[in-house]
Amino acid sequence: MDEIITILTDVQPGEDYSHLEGLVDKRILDSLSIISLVSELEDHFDIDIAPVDIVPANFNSAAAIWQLVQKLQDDA
Amino acid sequence: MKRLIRHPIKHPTVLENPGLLPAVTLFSRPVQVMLKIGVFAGLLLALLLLLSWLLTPLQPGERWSVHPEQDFPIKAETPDSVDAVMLGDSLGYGDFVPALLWNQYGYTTYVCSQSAQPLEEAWAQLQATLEEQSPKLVMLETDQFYRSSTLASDISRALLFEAGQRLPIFRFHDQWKQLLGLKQTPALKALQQTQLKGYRFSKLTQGYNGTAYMNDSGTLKVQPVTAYYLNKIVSLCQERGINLLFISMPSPKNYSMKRHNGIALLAEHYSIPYLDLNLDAQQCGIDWAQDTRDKGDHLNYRGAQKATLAIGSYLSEHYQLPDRRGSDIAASWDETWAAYQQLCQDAENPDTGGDSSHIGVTEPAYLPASPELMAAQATTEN
Amino acid sequence: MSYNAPLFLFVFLPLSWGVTRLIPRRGQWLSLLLFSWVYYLSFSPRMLLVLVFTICCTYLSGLILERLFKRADRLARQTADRQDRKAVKARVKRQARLVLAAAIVIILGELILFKYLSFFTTNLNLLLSLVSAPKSLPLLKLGEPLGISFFTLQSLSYLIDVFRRKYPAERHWGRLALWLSFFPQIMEGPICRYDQTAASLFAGHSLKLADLTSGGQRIIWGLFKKVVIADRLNPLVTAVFDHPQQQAGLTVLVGAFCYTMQLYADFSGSIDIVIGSARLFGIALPENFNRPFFSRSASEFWRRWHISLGAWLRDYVFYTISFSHRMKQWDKKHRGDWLYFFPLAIALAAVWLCNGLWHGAGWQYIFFGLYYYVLILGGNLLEPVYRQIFTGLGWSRQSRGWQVFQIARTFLLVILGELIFRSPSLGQAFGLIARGFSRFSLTTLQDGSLLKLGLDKADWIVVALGLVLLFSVESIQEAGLNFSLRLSQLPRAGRWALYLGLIFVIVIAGAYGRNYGVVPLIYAGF
Repeated sequence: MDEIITILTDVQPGEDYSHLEGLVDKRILDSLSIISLVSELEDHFDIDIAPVDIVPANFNSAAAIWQLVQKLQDDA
Repeated sequence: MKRLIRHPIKHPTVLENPGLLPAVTLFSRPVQVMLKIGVFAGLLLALLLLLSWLLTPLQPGERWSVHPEQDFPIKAETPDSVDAVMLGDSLGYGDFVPALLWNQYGYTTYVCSQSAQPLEEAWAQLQATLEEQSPKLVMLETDQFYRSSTLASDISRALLFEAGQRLPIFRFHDQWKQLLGLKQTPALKALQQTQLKGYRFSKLTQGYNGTAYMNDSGTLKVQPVTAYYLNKIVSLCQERGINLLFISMPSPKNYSMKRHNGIALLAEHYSIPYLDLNLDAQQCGIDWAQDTRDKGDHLNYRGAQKATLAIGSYLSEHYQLPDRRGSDIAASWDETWAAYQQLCQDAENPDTGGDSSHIGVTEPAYLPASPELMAAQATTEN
Repeated sequence: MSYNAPLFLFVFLPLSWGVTRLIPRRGQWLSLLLFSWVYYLSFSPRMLLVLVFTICCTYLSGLILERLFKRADRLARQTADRQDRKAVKARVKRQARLVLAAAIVIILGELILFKYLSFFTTNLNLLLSLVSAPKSLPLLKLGEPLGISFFTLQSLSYLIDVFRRKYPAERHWGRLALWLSFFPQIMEGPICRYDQTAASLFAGHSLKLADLTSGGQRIIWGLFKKVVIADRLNPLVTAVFDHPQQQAGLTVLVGAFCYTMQLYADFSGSIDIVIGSARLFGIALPENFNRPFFSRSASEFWRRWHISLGAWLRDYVFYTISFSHRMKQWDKKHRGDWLYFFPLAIALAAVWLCNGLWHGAGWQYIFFGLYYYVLILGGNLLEPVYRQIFTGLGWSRQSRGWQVFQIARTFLLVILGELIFRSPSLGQAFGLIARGFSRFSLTTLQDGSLLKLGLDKADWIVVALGLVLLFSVESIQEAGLNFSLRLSQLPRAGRWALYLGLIFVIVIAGAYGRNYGVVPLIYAGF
């Protein structure tokens, strides 16, 4: 979970991600930062994030991202 | 407003009149639904009937309050004064000149045409005509046989027409424009057309390059909706002992051998004579550089003159239409001839070259006098 | 038989509804499918073959993909080693990619053949004549199958989703066939996803009064937009855009405004009829509009206008490119330097080229796409700059004034876009824009030239009142009030009076019948 927050801060600095909700809905993450975020996550956790997984619900908070990562790690 | 949103919403059916519930529960749910639909449809029908009653124009004798611009102007003619009518689309009112046949033969003819008229409208025009006139001949301009695009759109158009026959609101829904005084009643152009017994004068010239257009082959049959209304027209004419004649006006844009063959097939089927002015260029001697107003779609006044005279000589050869010159209805026809002549002179004379939109426009008796009506107004040719 | 045609509204829809209702729920899908094909036949009998071919191709390709995945899963279960499992999966993925590519080539090929071939040959011939080649390619006139721009996209979305393993492939041919040919949406969309509507289409529904009233409301509201506003504006729009050389500056701008309104009323109105018709059968279709003229930016506009197309391009073009392996590599290499926006720029370029081309084969459409590309990419790149300016000055970006300014700005940009979009050619588009601004003079208002464009005083009044009604309703909805809920809370007399009132307005003020030409649905032509 902390790793996620580190990556988030790295990709889009200036926010406290530990409790922030609605990252996509409030447009804190835009198209550009999502691309960076996805490639960082893939490298860091050795997973493949498919376009199917790229829905706002999976990226709206650090917790949601963490859940996605765990799910993909289990699948592999 | 806010209070309503915050409170939990009651289920809609709870809000409905509780007194009705016991009676309605006698029926099963689908029947209930159908009952409601039925009641709603009944109310809708009542509304449409009321609107129809309000907006249907009165007849000439009833002193018109609202003049339907193009709806059956022939009704303003003296009863039993018209011996032949031409039903058609713009090739009817643009290419056929009743004034000429009056001057030449003393025939009383009238054009019942609207732009882009489909055959069901011709059927309505015929019915309206026969209410007070007893013509000996009905000429059908055949361009309206090919109004259709697809069967589905033909049926849609005919449905709307039939709805308008039963609930006139669908036919006259535009009347609110006149009722509220937002549209001149009637337009100058329509008045002029009425004065010319249905002919619409045009002096525009845009030549057609003159290529032959009747050298294709094959047969283009008319579509079912057209055939349906043609059948009605033929039966009504037979019943009333009226001769029918198919006429194709000269028009490179609208005619081809394919269409000719399709019309000829119908003519043969109903044993109706068919005069196609496109077949023999010499017959009326159209000069395509001079005589068309829009590159071979419609004729201008010069072309219309030639085509009408060709039709006149055909009529005098094949039918015994009476010469009405000198009869008690002659005055109105002499006026038509005078107006037509003046329009021609005006068009020929480069000096006047100006506004001829007033010529032939006299105020119909059934309209209240209004000075604005006669004021000059820019009319566009169409 | 468009959705606004009397034949559809008063014969086909009631007939198909009645027949489907009489059939037991389990068989309703068959009735819907047959009526859908009859509907398609009423436009062009031969083209039904294209639809049926697409259905077969989609169905079979889906099954092949599914079989490959099943085998991979079986093999993966048998091997314990994680690396081996990955290898098996990668191999199957490669095979599946080939199958998918073949299917895409066939379905896209269909679209190109019927929609773009003449555009490509014309332009190729132009090129050939430039190098003075003696030969030119023959122009094939194939005709355009109804709704091909919509059902091919649906088919592609289904296949790509199956490939991405979003859901398993469909085994029942009927469910897939109905989803691709359902008659209310075949002409103009919305472009539905398989997991959105297929199950509900197939399921069969019992009769509910709520479905009927809600469906009826939508149909009446849609007819109001189409018949009263869109069709009445048509003569003016045609007059302005068919004779671009004769227009004064103000009439060009009025024409562009009127076309934007016509397009919105036409498209969203017919989508209302579509959604309402489906609702009569108990089927909920996704929305395609969300009051787009309240958008604050061009990209928001496209999330609220023709939603199903924007979402399609996002999921299948934008994501495919921006999350491809190469783009991720690029992102890693250039993060922080000035080339960082390259993946976004490429993906957006593809999206807007597709968007432009989807609307038609013509340079003005491609330029229309380019126009939005520049607007949206620019907006994205300038976003950090804006943010700094606003924090620097201490202004709030949520202030009412700024929001109103943004909405007005977006509205003007959209009108300019539609001006390009409606022009007969790209050259005419530039000419019109130049005229709009160089020959602009307010005297046009006084000399009555606005009344010579096919709309008389009465027509202008109807259009103005119609637009006021339309946008009042939308502002109320935008303020968060649920309109249909409020409606259902009214006493029945009030509700029925509203329905009858709106029908009264349509009957009286609608532009239909013998004094008006029939205006085909605009988006059915794209």
